[in-house]
Amino acid sequence: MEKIILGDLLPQGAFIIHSTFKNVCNFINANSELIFITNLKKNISANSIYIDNENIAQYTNVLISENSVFLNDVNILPQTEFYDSKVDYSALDILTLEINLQIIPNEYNELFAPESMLFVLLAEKQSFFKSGFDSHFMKNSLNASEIIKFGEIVEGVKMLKGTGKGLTPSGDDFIAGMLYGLHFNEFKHQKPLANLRNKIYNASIGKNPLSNSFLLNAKNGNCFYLLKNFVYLASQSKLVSDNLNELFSMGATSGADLLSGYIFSVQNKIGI
Amino acid sequence: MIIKGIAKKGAYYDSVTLMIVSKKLNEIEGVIDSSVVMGTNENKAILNSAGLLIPEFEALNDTDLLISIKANTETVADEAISKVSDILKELLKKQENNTASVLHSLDQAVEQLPEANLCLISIAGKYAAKEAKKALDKNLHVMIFSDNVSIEDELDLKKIAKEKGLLLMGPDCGTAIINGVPLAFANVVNKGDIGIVAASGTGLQEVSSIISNNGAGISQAIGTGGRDVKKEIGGIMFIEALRALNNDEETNCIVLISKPPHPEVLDKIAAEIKNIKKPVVGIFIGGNPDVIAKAGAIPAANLEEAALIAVSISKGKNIDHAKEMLDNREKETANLAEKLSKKIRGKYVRGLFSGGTLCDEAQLILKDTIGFVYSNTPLNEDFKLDNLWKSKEHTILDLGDDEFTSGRPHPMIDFSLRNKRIAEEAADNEVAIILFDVVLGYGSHISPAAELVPVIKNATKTAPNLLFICSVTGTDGDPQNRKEVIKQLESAGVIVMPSNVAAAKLVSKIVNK
Repeated sequence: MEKIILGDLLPQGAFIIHSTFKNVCNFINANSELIFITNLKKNISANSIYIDNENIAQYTNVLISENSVFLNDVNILPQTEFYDSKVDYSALDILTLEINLQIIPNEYNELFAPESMLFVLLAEKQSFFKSGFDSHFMKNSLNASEIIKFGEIVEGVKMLKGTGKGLTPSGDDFIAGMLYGLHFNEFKHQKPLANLRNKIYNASIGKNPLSNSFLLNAKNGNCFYLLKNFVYLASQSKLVSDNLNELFSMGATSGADLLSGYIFSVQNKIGI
Repeated sequence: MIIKGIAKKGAYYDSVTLMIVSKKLNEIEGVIDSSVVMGTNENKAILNSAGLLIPEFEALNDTDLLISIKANTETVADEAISKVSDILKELLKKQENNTASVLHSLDQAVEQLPEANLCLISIAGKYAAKEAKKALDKNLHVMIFSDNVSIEDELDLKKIAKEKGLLLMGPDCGTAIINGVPLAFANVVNKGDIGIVAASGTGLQEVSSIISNNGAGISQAIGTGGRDVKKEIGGIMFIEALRALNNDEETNCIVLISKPPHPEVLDKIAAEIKNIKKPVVGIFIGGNPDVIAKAGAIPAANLEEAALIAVSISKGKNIDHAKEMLDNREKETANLAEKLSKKIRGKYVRGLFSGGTLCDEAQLILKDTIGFVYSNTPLNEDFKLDNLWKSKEHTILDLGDDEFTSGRPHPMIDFSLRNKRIAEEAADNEVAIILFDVVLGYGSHISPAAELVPVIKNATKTAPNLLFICSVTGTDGDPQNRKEVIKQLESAGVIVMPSNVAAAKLVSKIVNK
């Protein structure tokens, strides 16, 4: 029997196909909530269903209730494992993680896609953005980051949301990274930041269900497998290029944009 | 000038794909600018600022792909728009076919990077010689990080390399800096005019870091592997590297670092030094400096002195300047030792080293004041520890030696063994000082202070008069940042000295009181 792993935060409802890629099929319900089926373990997330099967395109409808998960009318719940998407910062070496996060922009910048938002953290990366849209996008992002650093966090987030290219716009990925970073800041500085995360989330959701789902997970601290794995490795002093490359294999720039946002929150102690 | 655009509803593409599309559109003659983005309100605002928004886009939303073209003429804009679908199809096809990201052989690697001229081999020792031979056949310089390569294979490989005019660094070569690129365990040092040939990995790291920390820099640092200066190999690569640095225009001064070579090899090196037109500074740790002086090189008493003499030469100063610096520090060290010796407990020193050469150097310095000390790698075989896991009187250990690293990572990477030993030594009331090294740089533990500080703090809770003395090999440019590491160690009460020599001398003066 094929192996199945369910995310720990699957929304309920009847889902129909939203979009299909080689290793990922996105499904959406009437509330515009998104789940996806994948056959790559590295894609596992709080709202994913992993199936060890080449042909995921065979699944056309998903029905999730409290006690069942139907794929094409077959209840798979009895044969599944569950993915725990939470990061337990209290179990981590937080100092090592912080040091690793601090050194990444300078020491590992070559691993970031040049199109990514690393330019917010590293000025030398700004020269890549030359065309009309790109240079305006960059300037807008830099302005937004300054406003956030100044303390007008929600205003800055509003400027970033929905900006940039890609399936999930780079600005949304950066905001998701910021939200994950706030979970770090909350633990490190022992200051509750749930209200701030809610405000950021409410200000950043739009009409893109992919972005919305990503941002919801980030707000709640539900990490996709690659991010959780990266955080654990980086807290164990095993930060090497391979760890970063794994995270950056998510989307074209999504992993790099997200990590840029995460580091931005940590470096600038956003919310503290 | 005209702005035209189209939208594709419900079309999802990643950001790199969209950026490439935009770039390809901009390459069309007559296209002034273009943009391919998802239709979020915020992107539309940016398009507006960039002068790329058309009224038709206003009604579109987040899930629509917006393509806009700014061109000299309508014809050019139409031509660009007509090409968008083809460009997207072509890119998707390329992505589907792009499966060769993992390389499985040297041949594949050379095919992927035909301009490469150096091959670093880090695989199980029994396979390393075969791969090194393949690399030499492809006219690549070779660095063999692997150990457990037979001495016969090493000799064969070095003969082939010499014949072809290539470098064969290693086996068991842990560090090198070639054309500014740090290889394996190496530090981020300044670029400069000092070249290094070393048959000692941590010796190379200590010298190159001190040079850099004192404002000079490295042209090339060539490791040869420790066995190169043994009789069986005859110093083939040590001499070839020396010649290479003599011919290197960027190098104005050469530092040689090794344990004492076999006498026959030393003769060969000495003969070669006579042909070198540049100043040569030599440190053969524990060897007779007169032999170096007779060959026309400048002898140094230890790694730090070698580095500082080279710095003086590089800066055009008299080499006595380096010796004066060290003499002055000697006085400061004596004062510090006087102060510290008043409040210590116990009488023995326990050295816990990760660098083999640094361990040897510490033993040599202690020998002059307190005599031979027990070790797993003693200077005098009579002082070989019977039980490696239990120290005896004064004991200095090389925790990076094979006996300790079998089945576990090197102590520069994994601090667990050293931390355990620190706790054990601290529990021994007869121990007065724990001496250790911290080696930074690529490959080493990214956060050594985070490993050491809790253990040291814990130890000093029960043994407040126990002294911790160390040196930190590395630079502020290293991934760990030397300054930051020192700050964290000092915050835990560790006395951090500027070099391994300085740390060992402080210990010898305290113990000798």
